[in-house]
Amino acid sequence: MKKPSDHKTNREQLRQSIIGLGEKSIRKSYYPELQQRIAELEQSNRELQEEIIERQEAQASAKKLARQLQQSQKMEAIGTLAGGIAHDFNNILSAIIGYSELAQLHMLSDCDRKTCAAAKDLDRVLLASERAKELVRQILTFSRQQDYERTPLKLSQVVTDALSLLRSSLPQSVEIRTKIEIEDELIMGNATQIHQIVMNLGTNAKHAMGEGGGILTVEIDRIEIEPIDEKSKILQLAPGPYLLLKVCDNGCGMERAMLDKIFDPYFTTKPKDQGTGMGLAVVHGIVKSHNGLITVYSEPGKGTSFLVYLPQLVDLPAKKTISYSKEIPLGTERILLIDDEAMVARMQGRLLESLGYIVTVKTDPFQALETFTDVPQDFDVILTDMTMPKMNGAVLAQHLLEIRDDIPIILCTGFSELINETKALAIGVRAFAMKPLMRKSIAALVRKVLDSRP
Amino acid sequence: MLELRKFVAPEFIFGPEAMQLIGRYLCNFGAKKALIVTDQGIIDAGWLTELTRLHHEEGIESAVFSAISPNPRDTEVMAGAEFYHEQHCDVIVALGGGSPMDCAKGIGIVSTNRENILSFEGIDNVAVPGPPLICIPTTAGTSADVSQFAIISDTTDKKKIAIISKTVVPDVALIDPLTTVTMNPYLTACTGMDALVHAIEAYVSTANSPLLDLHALEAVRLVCTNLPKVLDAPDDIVLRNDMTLASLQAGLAFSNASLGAVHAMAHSLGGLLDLPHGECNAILLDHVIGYNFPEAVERYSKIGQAMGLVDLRGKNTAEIKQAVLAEVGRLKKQVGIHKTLGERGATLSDIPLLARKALNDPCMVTNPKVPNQRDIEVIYEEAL
Repeated sequence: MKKPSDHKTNREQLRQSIIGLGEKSIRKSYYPELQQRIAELEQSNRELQEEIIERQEAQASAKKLARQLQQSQKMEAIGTLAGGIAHDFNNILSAIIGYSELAQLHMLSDCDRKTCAAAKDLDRVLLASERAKELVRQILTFSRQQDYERTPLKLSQVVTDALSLLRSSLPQSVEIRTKIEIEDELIMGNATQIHQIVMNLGTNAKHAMGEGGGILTVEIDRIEIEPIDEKSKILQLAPGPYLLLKVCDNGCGMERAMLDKIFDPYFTTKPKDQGTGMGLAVVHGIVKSHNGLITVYSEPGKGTSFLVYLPQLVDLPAKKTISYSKEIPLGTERILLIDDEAMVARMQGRLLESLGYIVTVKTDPFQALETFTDVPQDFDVILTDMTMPKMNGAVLAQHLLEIRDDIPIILCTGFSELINETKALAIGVRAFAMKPLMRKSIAALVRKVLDSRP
Repeated sequence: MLELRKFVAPEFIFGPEAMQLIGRYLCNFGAKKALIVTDQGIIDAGWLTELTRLHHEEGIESAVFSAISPNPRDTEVMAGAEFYHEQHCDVIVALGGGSPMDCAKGIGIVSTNRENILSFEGIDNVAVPGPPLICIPTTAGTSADVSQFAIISDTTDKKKIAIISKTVVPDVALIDPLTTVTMNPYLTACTGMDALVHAIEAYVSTANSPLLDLHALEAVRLVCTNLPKVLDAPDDIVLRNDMTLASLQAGLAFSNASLGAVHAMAHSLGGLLDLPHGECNAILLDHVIGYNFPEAVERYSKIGQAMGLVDLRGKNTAEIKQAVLAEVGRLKKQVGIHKTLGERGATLSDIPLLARKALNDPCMVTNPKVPNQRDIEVIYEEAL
């Protein structure tokens, strides 16, 4: 038999394909089920796309929070640095003010103040020192090294008061719109500081809106920060009820690069003579010291919103009152004064002596402890600095109290992370004073402590 | 020869007003929006208005794609597939003659396989079937509504490609003779001759089969009896019905038995000169019969009888061949197809290329005689 040619074989294969026995059956009756399946796949495709969008949003949000965290860490670092400088500067300032006041005392008795050039110069030294003191106070507020008295406050009341004050400092072209959704809700805070938040943010908004003016919106609302909230997780904002103060303007807005810097001390976009660059830094410090959080949202050309979260006070603490007397009280009691900085110690000693007291000055806490151990009944009150190299004021105070538990101790400090009034009082110290002590205030404090002896 | 055979045909409904059932079938397929593939002639005849009304009645949306040439082009198929996706269609309805139906088949497989239509050329080259396809033929001849063939013009190579695949068999054909009434006499003649060629080529095909023979011979008989009459009485519903039935039977036969040299050569011709398919077939038919005759004397004699030649018994091969060719010639003349290829624009210099392309056409596979290049050239020359 003749073998078929390739051409013939190929032809036969094609012929068989036409007849089509090898093919699978075509059943398009599957079609409705197929359509159903397609619809299901399209649905899950849509869901996947939504999930992708959600994830992208979550990533963007995480990125934003990371930036905020970085920002808050930066503020922390700047705060520590600024606080340290303020502390040293405060000590120097104490000496300048103290000696200047002493020099004035000497002069008052010896020369005519009106004709004496030196007396006038000392006035100017004290005036400049007052300004320096105010600046240090601001830096300390920013770095949260300054303790302010906190009382339960109605936030809406304080903000409303501040706004009426702010109104007078804003041009007519700025309209203030308020939307206060709370009534009697409280925060634990310092009214002056909250005032300052509103004033500083309001002033900033005024500048952002420029001469054309605009709308300043101030809102207060109550919100709950949940433990799972990212603000709580990443920015360490404790979960719980918060009062949210929003201050928004429709001014020029800011670029992102600028947003990262606005809370830095001495950062300002205003002309040199108009802004100190401390406004927002101070606001930041105040909010942090209130255990709150401040965030900012801004779009160039559209405006800026500041969001201030302040923890709501739910349980009221017991009330306390502080009274001040206006006259400089004097005394003749015996004072043991300890400060490791010789210059400050001598100055304070002479200041107290000028008030009539008998002062023993020590610059070494161990020597002071020795002296006191020998004759504990020879002293009526002890004034000690807090920050000292060998032994700090708190530890010294504890040793002194071991020897004589009724000895009144006043703890002075310009700056200390280790102690605040509450802690000081807790270890048995009678009073706590922030340096630099002015003649008037130290006189009042010493007298108060002595008079409150049992 | 005994062999296994398969018979492929779509579900079809034949008879007047079959078109009215479109709504039911759209529902069966769960259609929400149908792509209607049609052409301007059909729109002008008013059939699209009727079809969209039927869609509307069923509450099914539709989008119309009608940018189709008489010989549907690859570019048109691709544009149609794009349109199908754009419009979010889920079923295709072809309304018209061979052009819209072949185009609709192409759109279907392109939209599911997402490849160029030309990549499906040849036998069994389509991987995935298209979406449900409902064909409503409005001519009596092409039989694309029941066939596994789709013929598309390759505009780059100027040839027609044949796509032969079970996947292009429509899912449902609604064969409504009433829709053929709007054909003009020339179109009636061309499509009728196309049906005759389908029947003859299927009958002499190397893939013929007894089951298919019945349909093929019946189609030959119906065309020869009714085509001259329907040209005289175009509005006669009974004649139109018979011609539509002829087309259907020829379609069932050729879809399963395939075709031969007439179609292979007509595809080549149509691709180059863009001539009406039916007319090309008619011009080539007697010349191809002359060439093939010695390979299938018996079968051509049967065709002669079906055509109405009663006195073939006792005649020798040459006499039978003479009689059959004469009858085909007479029919062509009677229905008004008397031009030659030369008169239709073909030249002697076109022939070698035409022949080469025809030899490569899948329809040539089942031609009773295996031709070479020269054989085909000679047939073209005779028809020139």
